[in-house]
Amino acid sequence: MKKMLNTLFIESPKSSLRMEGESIVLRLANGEKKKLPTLNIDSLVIRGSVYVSSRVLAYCAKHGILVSYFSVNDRMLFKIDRSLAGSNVLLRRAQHEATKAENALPVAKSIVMGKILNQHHELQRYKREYAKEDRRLIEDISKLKHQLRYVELAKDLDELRGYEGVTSSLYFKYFNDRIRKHKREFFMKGRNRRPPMDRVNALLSYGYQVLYHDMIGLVESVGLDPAMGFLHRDRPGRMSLALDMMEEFRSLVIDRLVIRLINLGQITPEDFDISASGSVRIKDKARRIFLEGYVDQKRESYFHFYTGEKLKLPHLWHVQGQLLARYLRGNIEGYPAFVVR
Amino acid sequence: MQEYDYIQIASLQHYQYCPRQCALMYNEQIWADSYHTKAGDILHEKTHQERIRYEKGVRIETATTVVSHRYGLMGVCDTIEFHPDTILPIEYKVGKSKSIYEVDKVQLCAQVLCLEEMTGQSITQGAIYYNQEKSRSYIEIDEALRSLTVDVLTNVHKLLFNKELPVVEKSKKCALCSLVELCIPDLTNMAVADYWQTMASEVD
Repeated sequence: MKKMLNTLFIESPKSSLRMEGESIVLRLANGEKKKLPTLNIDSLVIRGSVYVSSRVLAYCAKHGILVSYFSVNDRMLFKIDRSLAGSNVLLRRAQHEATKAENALPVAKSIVMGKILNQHHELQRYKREYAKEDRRLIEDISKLKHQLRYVELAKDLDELRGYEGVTSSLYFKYFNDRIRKHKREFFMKGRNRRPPMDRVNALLSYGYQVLYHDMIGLVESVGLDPAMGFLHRDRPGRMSLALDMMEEFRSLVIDRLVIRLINLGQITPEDFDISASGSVRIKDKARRIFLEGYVDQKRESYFHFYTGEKLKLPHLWHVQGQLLARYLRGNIEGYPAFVVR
Repeated sequence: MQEYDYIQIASLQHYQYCPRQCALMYNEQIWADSYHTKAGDILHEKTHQERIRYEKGVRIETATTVVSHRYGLMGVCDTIEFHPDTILPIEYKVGKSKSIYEVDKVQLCAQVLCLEEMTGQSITQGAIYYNQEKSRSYIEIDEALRSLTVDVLTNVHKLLFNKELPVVEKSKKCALCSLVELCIPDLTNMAVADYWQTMASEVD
């Protein structure tokens, strides 16, 4: 059966989740009740003041539904794993070996190459549609492309991260240009987070957080340890492998979504609270719009040149996890990061 | 042999279907349900409750755990009939008798090997109950079947001891395999280096 990585987001304040018979029931603060379709749900994201009964948690553990809990400030506080199912010590040992600093470079390179190629794709798309004559852009695209050669020759992780940094700044340089609505309010002053200092960064951070959650689910569903990464090094509390897996998808999934929501006017400047200190928060209504857009995005199909299949995003993610596991277990000689075409 | 090296009787069936499937399930701990596995679960709900009853002087046990220390084998028998003069293990299957597969016979024979070692009695016959027909077929446990079973279980021991994952051998069976989406039989066609070369060359 296909892993669809369907995620249910429960964010309504003062709501509760309880078991009623064999189904999970959501009760909203106003007393309204909703039965949740557990059959197709792979994970549950709970945010803020939501009451969850222990029987719901037991049900999720038993049925392999990942539960993540986020604070109202979007920090992941805990997650509940899929019990012991799928835990595979052999794969973990291989992962441990392969993620050691002296062995991590090949996969780290693949991740960065995937990321760069996908960023390149986004800029090309933008150029084709809106900026055919922009000499500066054309030049930067070719600079970005050049970084690929350096990546291939990188001798260590630090050098690799340097090239990644260069391409990222070339890529983000055009982010404001790609926004074509409310340009005065939707303007990013570089990448900043925790707290985000402008609306665009607030949307990006929220999107990356949601993607991060899905990547943890992806990594765990193939029996890998989300904390042991290649490009991102060990840090307690950080799911480095999930961050690694995000890299090839950031521009394709979240950046595209943010730009689309703004350009279609689905999210407007009024959808944010701006503190006197300058930090920016997304209002609840806009979060819902964002998540709906995210779910729509997941239904899109992408052609995967390596497997030769057209895959919906959740299935594609699962395939990437499988490919990484196959590499670790010696079935393929490298990790083919996903490149959009 | 240590207890944790024992293999499951069910693994013989998986190995015969596809060694890679067997390694994925028992070494990689990958499992996925299909229509067929679910149908099997539902059928076995009845037989997998430990029970002992008597019918006409025959002691009938369900869901009995059996083991062979000699072969490093363990598993559960759906039903065992203890007759005064003989022991008859019965395996429950979803399908029809015209599809008596060698794998079903091997599974039955593996149960026989365990039961013989545990009771000291020799067993010449077992049965497979086919749910679609509501009838059983009796299977002779002859020398040929015994040596085939020992061959298969030796191979499973080797596979699981080495902890290696066999490479894909794509076949028609892949379409029916519940693990097809996790095994991804298509993907060994391309060298990863070629993949990167193609991806990078398209960057213009």
